[in-house]
Amino acid sequence: LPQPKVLLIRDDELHTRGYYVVAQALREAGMEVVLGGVQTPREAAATAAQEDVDLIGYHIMTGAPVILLEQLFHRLREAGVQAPVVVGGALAAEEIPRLKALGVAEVYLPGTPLNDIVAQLRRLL
Amino acid sequence: MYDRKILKKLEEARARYEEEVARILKERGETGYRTPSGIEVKPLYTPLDVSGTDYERDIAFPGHYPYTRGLFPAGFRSRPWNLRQVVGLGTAEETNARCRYLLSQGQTALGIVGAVKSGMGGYGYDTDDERTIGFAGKDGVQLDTLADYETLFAGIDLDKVSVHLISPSAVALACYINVCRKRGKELRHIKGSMSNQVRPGRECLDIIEFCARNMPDFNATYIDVRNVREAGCTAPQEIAFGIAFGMAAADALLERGLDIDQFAPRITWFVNAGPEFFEEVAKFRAMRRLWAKTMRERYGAKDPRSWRMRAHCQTYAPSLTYQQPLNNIIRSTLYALAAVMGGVQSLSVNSFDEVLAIPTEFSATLSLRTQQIIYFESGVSEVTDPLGGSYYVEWLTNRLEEEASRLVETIQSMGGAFKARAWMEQQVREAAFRQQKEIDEGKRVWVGVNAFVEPDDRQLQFVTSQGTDLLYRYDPAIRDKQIARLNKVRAERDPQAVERAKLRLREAFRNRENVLPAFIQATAAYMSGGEIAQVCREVLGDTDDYFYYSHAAYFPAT
Repeated sequence: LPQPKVLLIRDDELHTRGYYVVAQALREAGMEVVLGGVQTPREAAATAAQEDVDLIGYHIMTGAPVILLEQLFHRLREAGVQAPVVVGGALAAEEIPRLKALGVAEVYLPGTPLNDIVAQLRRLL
Repeated sequence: MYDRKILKKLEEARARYEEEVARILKERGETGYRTPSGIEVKPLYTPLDVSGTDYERDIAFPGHYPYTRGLFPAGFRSRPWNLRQVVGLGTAEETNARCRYLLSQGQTALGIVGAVKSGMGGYGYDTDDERTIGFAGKDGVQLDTLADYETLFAGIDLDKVSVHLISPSAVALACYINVCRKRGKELRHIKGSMSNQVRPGRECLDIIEFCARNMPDFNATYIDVRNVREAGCTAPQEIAFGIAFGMAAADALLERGLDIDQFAPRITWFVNAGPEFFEEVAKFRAMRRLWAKTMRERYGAKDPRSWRMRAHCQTYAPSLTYQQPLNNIIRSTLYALAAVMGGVQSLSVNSFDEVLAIPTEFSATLSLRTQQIIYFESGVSEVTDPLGGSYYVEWLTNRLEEEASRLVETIQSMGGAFKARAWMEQQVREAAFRQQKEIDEGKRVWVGVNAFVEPDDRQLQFVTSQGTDLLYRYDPAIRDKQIARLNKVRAERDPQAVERAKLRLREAFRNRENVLPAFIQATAAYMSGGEIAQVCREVLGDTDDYFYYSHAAYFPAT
């Protein structure tokens, strides 16, 4: 099996902890992680297309999740990227149905164990 | 500190006691305890653990070198800490209203957080940039031009209220200066502080140099280790990285021809206070002592104000939980108590809802009340350094200082904090991952997350229900409102003044002079942060040479 390639992006400059912790967990689980850092939806779609990634993880700590995901999916469609998108960070459960309706594959609320994230991503890949 | 004969006798008694304890703990299968920083802690401490400590040399009196017990002789009785809850939401109007409300409720100082993705955040984008979509008004107060700063400070007496701008931006400082000048204040009398965190790039040093020469009462140098701690570092790393950043700034400023006592008195620290109560108290004590020694012995500072590590603390956030969110009130209260017992000068207590959203007026007031209850009801503010003299706290203070000193030397051997940044970043990442593993593996209890989980989380239901209306809900229309304000300013300002200001800016960037005077002129002409950054890009190209575009300035985005 080829090594799965995951693009991790985040929405803000300041909150980096969860982003890097998840990146490390994915690497230890044998995935190739592309650290995109802070990217706008437009930039993220371009990176995803260029790197030909299998999955996109979006760490959202500050921005409005529904607005950002609407934009991201719009840009991904434009770029012809079909990789599944998962979201984690400081979100509220009430946003999950709206995010899923937009096409988000999984939403990770604060406190999710790393093993759970890894196991679910393996199923998605 | 103790008579040798007494210590000798004590050694025998301690040996018997430790045997007894070891037996009890073995029966219970206890395997020892390490703090989250990895320091192994015994079940009890005695004078034998601090027998090498000399009271006058190592601890001394508050207000006296090396300031282990605090910076001021009478402690909080003469210098109460500033109750400085962070505020920053919506446009200048909403933040002004929140500030005035909190001041009316007994808050004594302001910490105003500027939108990270704006001119005030140091990124040089105006609200009409696409980067602010989904963020405007949600990641701090959205400020584009001086007009917004005028609204922000309307009705607030800047002589009475201490203002801290949570922004590293020279544009933000220029706007603040213009607000003060319009109120008739001379440069040399402007007070306040800002988050001009020590970082590479000329902007940081321009701010410090300009203030050192013109605004002696303004705290222009900022050592932010609070956010490094948030990113995952340990307590000794928080101390050491702060000292190392301070040294990096000092070295760069000495090179610009300033004298150490010209800028060191106006260095302030931004620190954290987290879950491990005694380790946090000891950390503040060790930080003060090591900073005093560094400034006096290493840099030869003569002014005692250069030796004093003044700190604003914001309590730790990564341990706050989404689950059972009201528990966060109790967590933050404990962290705040550690900060107060540790003797900080200024404090902001996180609100219980910050994992879910930005604080509401309700939750922000509750944080203010937390501080007031500690200050007025608990009595802890009446006695200076009340935990000083505890065998445990003194031992831990020594231990943290030793470990931090070793780390400082490691960083120095790599060429100082600016050159050792990749290594420091790696240390932070490793520590964060280790801590997460401990939680996931159940080695450390996290109430409501990996233990005592409530399947029908009633606290969460209560906080998030539409009926209680406790939670902040974002209105994207705030962005349109701010763009309209910005366009109005652009239409109404004097275009000739803008052209003159642009010429002056180009000249300043091209000649590599200190740009603050040009920034003051440009913002006075109502140029926006984005427009100023655009001039910079036109002259210098797309470079980090002037603005260091990273809020997490120590560890830039990968």
